Amino acid sequence: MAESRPDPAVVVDALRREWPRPGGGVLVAVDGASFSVRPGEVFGLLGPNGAGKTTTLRILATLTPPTSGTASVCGHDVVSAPRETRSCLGYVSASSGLPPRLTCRETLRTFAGLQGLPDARAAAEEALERFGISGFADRFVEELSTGMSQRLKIAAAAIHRPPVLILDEPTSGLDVVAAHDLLEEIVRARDSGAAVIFSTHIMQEASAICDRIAVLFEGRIEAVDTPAGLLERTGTTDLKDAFLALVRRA
Amino acid sequence: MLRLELLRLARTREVTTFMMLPALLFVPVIVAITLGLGTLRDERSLVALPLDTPAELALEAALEAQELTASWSLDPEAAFRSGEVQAAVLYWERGEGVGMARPRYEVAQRWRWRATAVAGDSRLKGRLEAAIKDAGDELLRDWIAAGGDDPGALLDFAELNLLPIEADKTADPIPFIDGPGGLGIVLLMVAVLSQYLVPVIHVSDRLAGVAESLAVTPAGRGELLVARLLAFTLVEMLAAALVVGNLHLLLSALPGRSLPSLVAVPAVLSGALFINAAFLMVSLPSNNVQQAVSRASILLVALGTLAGAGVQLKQVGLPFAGLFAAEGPAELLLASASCTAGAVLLTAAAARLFTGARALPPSGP
Repeated sequence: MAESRPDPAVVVDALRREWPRPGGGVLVAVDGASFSVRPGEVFGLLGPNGAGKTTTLRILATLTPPTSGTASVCGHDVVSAPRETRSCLGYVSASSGLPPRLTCRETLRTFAGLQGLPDARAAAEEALERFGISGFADRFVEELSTGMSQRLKIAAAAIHRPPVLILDEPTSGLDVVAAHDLLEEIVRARDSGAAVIFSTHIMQEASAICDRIAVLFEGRIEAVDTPAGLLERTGTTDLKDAFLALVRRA
Repeated sequence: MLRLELLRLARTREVTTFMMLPALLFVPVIVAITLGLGTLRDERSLVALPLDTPAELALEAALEAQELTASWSLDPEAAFRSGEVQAAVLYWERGEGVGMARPRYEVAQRWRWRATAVAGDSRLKGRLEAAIKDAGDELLRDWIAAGGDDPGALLDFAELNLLPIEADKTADPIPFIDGPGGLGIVLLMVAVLSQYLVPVIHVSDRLAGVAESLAVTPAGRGELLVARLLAFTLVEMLAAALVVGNLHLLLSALPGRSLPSLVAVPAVLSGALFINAAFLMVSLPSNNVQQAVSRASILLVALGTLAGAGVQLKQVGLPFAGLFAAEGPAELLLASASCTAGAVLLTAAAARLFTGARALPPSGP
């Protein structure tokens, strides 16, 4: 008997985002993207700079409205129900930051309060343990290393155990050890049943943790498949070669 | 949300540097400069006295005790207005009502006078008042002793006899220090400080990605802005309280001590809210701190000009002070209501403007 698959946590359909160019005309950042992500899945967005990864993720996080198309998170439309959408996702990007003059503990307590958790203090203490931050809980955010800071950002974004975690190039600027630890966090979130959307332009990361990968190029999704499926589709043995083959074909 | 904003502001260096420190030092520095300049000049102030000053008061000696120098004048008011003297007793009149205290001393009214005087500043006014009081006290004590009574036993009676100087309000160069307008000066200071604080904090948040992190929480953007405005305003009121406390301690001037002045407190509060909301509005579309501060500076000048155009200024260069120098609670309540309505409108507009894109660092698509 076939195992019943859970409903997708994220559904993106014909998503398009245009930006006006300063000299006239428009820049199409996302061009008809469609994909879905199920709970307990790590979905990778793989593409070079300017491919539309960040814009897609910002639309899902309700930071940028789409020009056309639809996107929903946990059944909530990102345009018509932004508050409900935000309540069921955690979002971390390379550009997001935390108040520099708060301690880690205060930061987590604040974000627990913003997420509406009934006992913010207990939630913060639990997150300190869960993300291994207890050792520097009372240090100011501005005193943290890049790796520690990134870990705290993810802890703050995931303090309410959201069913959807959106991470935009989370390993950017991290050393090898910190990046490895972070990827382990992502796998743990996946194992606990969260749908994780993870953008990167680093092939090894994508092949290491992604269950499925969407290859983006110039705003379009060129392929969506498992890492093995992409290799088979392009007749290559390496994800980097598969990516290049798909991009050149486009 | 308010707790977060207050905690952050409490630990923000700019709050200490641009707000609390100036608030703490503003009055002492001004006083020190004034005193310093005063020591370069003759410390003794000249007081013009009318020629009909009662000789039995021996006012010259009482003035001398207060380090004031009497200057006899045919027209003390003209002498004061021309700047020849720093204070003047304009005229004397017989006091009344002492006889009601104790029938035996009905004739005491013969020995009392009421003075109407003007002075260049409140400290000088206080010294002049003390000199006249001392002179009157001494005369009264002599008279009581001459009747065979103990002057010390009649202190209450003497207190009743001490009539205050009625200062000429229109001639006072800074009439609103002690009145509602004193709070206007505080508001002016708050506005100048906010001009830097609000844009610096807000734009720094955006550049550092803090605004982005907050914008992806379920908290509404309106809530975020309101919490921020309230936190800014509370911190500014704290700075204002420091200024007012300093004024009271160092100059014995206390803005807001009369009933109409108390009405000015909510007016100042709502005024600060309005100014903060306006500064927040110009900060939202700014891509860097310099841009935000320069826009806020332009806005401050524009607000000042509008305030100046809206009221007949009594003091050039102090538009907000002029606005709040209005006499009477009705005008202050109107100002308060207008500022509150303006702050609400601006905050609502800011919440519309504070889209997700405005929360992102300005790096383009």
